[in-house]
Amino acid sequence: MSGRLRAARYLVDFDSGVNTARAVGRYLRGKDHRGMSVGPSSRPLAALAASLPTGVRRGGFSVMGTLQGIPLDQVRRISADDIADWITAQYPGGPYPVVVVGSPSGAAVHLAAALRAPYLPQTTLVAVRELGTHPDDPRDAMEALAPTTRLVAHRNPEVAVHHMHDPAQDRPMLEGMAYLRLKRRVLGRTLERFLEERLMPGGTILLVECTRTWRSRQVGERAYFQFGCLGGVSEEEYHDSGARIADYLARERSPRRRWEPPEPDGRRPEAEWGFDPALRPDLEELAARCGYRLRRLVVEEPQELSDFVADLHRWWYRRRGLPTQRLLAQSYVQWDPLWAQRLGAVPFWLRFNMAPSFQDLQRYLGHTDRYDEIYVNLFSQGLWSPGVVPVHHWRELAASAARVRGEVIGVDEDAYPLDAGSTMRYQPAFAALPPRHALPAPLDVAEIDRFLGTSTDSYRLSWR
Amino acid sequence: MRVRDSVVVVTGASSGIGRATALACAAAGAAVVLAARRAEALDEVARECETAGGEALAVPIDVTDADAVQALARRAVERFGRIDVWVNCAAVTAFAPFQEIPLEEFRRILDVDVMGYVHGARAALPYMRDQGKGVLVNVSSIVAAVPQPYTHAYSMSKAAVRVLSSSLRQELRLDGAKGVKVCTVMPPTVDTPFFDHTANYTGRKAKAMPPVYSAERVARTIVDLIRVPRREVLVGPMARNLMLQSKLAPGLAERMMASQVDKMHLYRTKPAPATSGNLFQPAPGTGSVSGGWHGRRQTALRRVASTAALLAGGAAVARRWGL
Amino acid sequence: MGPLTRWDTHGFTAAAGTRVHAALLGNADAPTVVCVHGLGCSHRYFLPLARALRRDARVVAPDLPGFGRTRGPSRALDIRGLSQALADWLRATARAGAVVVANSTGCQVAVDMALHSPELLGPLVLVGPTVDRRARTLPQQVGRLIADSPWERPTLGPVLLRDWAACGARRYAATFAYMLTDPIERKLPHVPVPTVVVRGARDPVVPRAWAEEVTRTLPDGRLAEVPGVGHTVNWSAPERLARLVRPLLAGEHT
Repeated sequence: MSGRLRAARYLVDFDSGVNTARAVGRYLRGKDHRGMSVGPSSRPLAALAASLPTGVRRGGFSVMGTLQGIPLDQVRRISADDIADWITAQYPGGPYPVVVVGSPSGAAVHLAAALRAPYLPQTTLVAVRELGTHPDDPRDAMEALAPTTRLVAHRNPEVAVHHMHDPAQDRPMLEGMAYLRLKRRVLGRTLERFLEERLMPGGTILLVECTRTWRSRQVGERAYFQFGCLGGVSEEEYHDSGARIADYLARERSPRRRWEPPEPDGRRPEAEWGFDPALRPDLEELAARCGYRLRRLVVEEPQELSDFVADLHRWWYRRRGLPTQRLLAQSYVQWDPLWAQRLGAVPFWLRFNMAPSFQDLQRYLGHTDRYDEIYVNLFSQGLWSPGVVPVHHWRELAASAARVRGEVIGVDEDAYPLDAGSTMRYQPAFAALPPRHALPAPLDVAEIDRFLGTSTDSYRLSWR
Repeated sequence: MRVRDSVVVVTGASSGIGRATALACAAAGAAVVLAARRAEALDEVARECETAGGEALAVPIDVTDADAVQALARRAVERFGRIDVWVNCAAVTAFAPFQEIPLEEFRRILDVDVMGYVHGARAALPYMRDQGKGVLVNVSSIVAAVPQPYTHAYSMSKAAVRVLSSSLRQELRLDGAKGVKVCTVMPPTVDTPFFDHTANYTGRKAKAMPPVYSAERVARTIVDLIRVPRREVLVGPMARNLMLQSKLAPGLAERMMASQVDKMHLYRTKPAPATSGNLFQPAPGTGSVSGGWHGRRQTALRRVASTAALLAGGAAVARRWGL
Repeated sequence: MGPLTRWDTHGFTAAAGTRVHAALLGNADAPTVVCVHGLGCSHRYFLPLARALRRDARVVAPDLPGFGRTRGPSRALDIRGLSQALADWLRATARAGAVVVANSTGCQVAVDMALHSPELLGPLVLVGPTVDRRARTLPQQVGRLIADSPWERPTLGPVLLRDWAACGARRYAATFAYMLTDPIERKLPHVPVPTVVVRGARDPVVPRAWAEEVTRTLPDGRLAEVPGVGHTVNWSAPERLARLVRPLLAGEHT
């Protein structure tokens, strides 16, 4: 069996890295990212799924998590080489003028699509099915999974393995599986060959670097345990949980009222969104050797790219004669660059559906030129984790900021955030918006230079 | 796996089966790495290997030293670039009533015969897995199937080694290492200096229990095994008979072996002083393949005898039928 | 010595993570010529060339990992892997700067060395450099190889069959795939040494236009055509190839 088929079995379908490669790969082949490119996309089915009783839906999220995971005895099959094969197999064409590499980010997915560039994510998620640990006992989870985490790291010397444990927003999934995020530290032969053969002579490698770190604990060589993740709960609150968490745990009927995570021993790149700088020297060396340009887009938080990418799209659409008055806010992995462009909609990426993302959108809408139409779509992670912002707040924000129309689309308000039909509903919701436009001619890197040169706004990023 | 151009590491290469195997592999065009305790013996074997047509490297070590065995593997790779075959052959034994043998000597035998093989496997397998191909040959003995009295530690060790091979095969299979093979060879009594050098607390001199086979025959089996790896290989009809007996009539086999050893493995009329033999110090000299038990001659005699019997039988049948 | 001369020695070196076999023939005091074989081939088909050069050079033909008598890794090496193996072997045997005569895919391997170990290259002879960038598909290359066969000496057949049996179908197919996507035209400008591009006039695998393009793209390239032969000039016209190699022997640096 080929490497990419093997990898497809254990890569997790709702992972940001996986969805990055799927969405951009399909965009380059002229296809959209409906149903996260793996599931059905149908409003009736979505309605059916959302109408199931809450308990069933909640259980459904949990079961889906368990099914996505691979059993412990098959962990030895996890191969970073196969994953690299899978990633490069998403992009069969070429040669390309630009290739995007680095930490995943929805804003960068839209940027890559605009540049018609393949996106090689540094981080991918592999789920391990395990039913023996409790979401609220991080110490036990760390120790129980440590031999497995070490095994994966040992068999894959080119990656670092981050065992990420988050009982807040990932809770239903965590009941049935453990998250192992593999971060590439060495470019490796497959990706090297992709860059050497499929990037045009003189082309550009655009490196997306999110410098977000998180406290973590080492469990072995290139093996780490991270408690918590970016979301509605802050890093401090995870490690020193207070009243809000106590209420949350009580609501979730947990036997505990407090989290006691293992003592961290360092700060390392955040498991899902952080960039591991160990990869950079290989890319610099390759760029120098092959005569490519290496440009770096550095941000502290993955969401900091969103307003830059939104304004860049506005500017780009204006230059290409497309309308610039429509905003489409997409959350987590329910992104679809093909539809954003087809609809002439400026994409704004929300990392998730929680307070920090809400505040980012609010801030953006506060200082940019007003949009006529604002549409917001929200991902459902399966429970009211701390910090989830209810639908009506999003609706009010959209309606007040838009000149003509502002609404939340593709979300079953009653079911949210346990909307089991969410992934089946987002693309039909996008497709329901008129009118259609022809796809604009691609953006090039020089235009990014020009945009950042002429724009008066200062974005919280560094472009080198 | 082709023996020609393979890199073969042999422990216990200074005498007996190990030496014969090293020479056979060299003659077939392999590069051999020779390990044992006696440096001069190894040098002599190395010279013989090069004359026979292969390249050779001698590395004196004691297989009970795990670091030394790792260093042996590293030296093999530094010199020849890879390890295709590893033959665990270094072994020691003692003849002693169970309560008489000093405990450290009992432990020493287990250390050399079992842990020595474990160290060898642990050193060789990472290289073989990386390469995707390799053959690990563990020389066990028919006593693993039909043990003998007075050689408890040795019999235990040979049984342990047979099981080690099996466990390794299973683990390698689960790990997906299809090209790495682990094989066990079970020879019967072989004509080697083994019996001259053993520790002995029985008061009786030890000898090779007939039928005695030549070490070269075992070496040929090992070379064939490298070419076509199989799980377990018995050498010679005696071993096969014993194996069959042990499956069909194990109690009887045990009783027969006990009396055989008492009558034929130890001299009835030659006494021997108590000695720890080559357990802690190697025997002096440069070693040899044969122990002077006339394995080849005995085999030839057996062949002549059985051919004669066949012919006589055939003649009788022919007369009967009036041919 | 005559047409029945065999190789002098078969040497082995621990290099490239394995035990690399090389066949040697010729005058031990003379300058070295390293022969780099093509896909699915080995040292064997360089014997005629080695014979032709034996008085003027020490001809060494290594087998790249997975081919000939050199065992290779279970996963086939791509062009970079093969060129790194060749570089490692050149360093281990202290043959940096020797004249390199490469055939077919061997040309891709030799040229790739310019990207990571240019100091190891000596004067270069690219005999039938693959792959024509206008024919980068499997059907085209297979078709061309078939079209080439009438122009090869029939004695090449058994030699190649033996070598194909040694490397096996899986390695052959995987290496073919790597060979097809390797962008040799992008690497040629980095070749730091004088290069002679040799083409058999009847070679369909390397059409004249492609050979001319390769020569132009090289910083110091010159084209030589050998009339009446196909792709494997080293087997079909060893004497004429030797005549093209001899002038370079004076120019090698160590």
